[in-house]
Amino acid sequence: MYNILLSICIGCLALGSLGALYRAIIGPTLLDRILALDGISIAVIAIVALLSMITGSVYFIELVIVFSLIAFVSTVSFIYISRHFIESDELAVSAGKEQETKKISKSS
Amino acid sequence: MMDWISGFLVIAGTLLILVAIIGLLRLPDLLTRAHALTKAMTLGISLLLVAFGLHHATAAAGFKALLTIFFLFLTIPVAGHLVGLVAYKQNLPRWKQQPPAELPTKEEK
Repeated sequence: MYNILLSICIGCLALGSLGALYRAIIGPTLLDRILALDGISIAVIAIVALLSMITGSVYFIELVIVFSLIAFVSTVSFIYISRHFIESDELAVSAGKEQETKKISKSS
Repeated sequence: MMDWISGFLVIAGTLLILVAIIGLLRLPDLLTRAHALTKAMTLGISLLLVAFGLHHATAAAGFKALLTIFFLFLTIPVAGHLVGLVAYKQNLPRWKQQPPAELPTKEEK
């Protein structure tokens, strides 16, 4: 009974990480993709915690700690790279153009 | 009894993480997406780790789960705040609202 509940929750979290992957693919800006990757990594952390509860092994918690550290460092380094090595025009690819057209239409 | 409590916490944490993902998919704007993802996901993962500590019911597992919750409470809001700050600096388009006045820079202080 309890293992069935945990398995259903693992399935729901896998579907959630697929949804975050969809946002990472279609995201209009680079920051959306960074945010979606953060969401995927935290969903994977939750899946590892539930897997540890199914198998009854305590030692998966080190994997949780290391994976959360990797998620934080990867998010911060992606943001550093996007601020220092990528031009701001490339960051707002399609969304910025929409804003410019809105401004033009307002002024006219 | 402990199985009932940890099962309830597992269901609540999974639903909160799913709410965060639905907010990431449905909301119209980068800042609102960061808002939904950061807060709901922090609460969801901390509930799941509390359920982890209750399920194993040893001192080492509970202490490591509390340590991980503390670490996640430190790191997830910092990441969300960085995304929001970069979105503000790049002046990305928003949903129905124009950006407010400029942030004070270092020279003005």
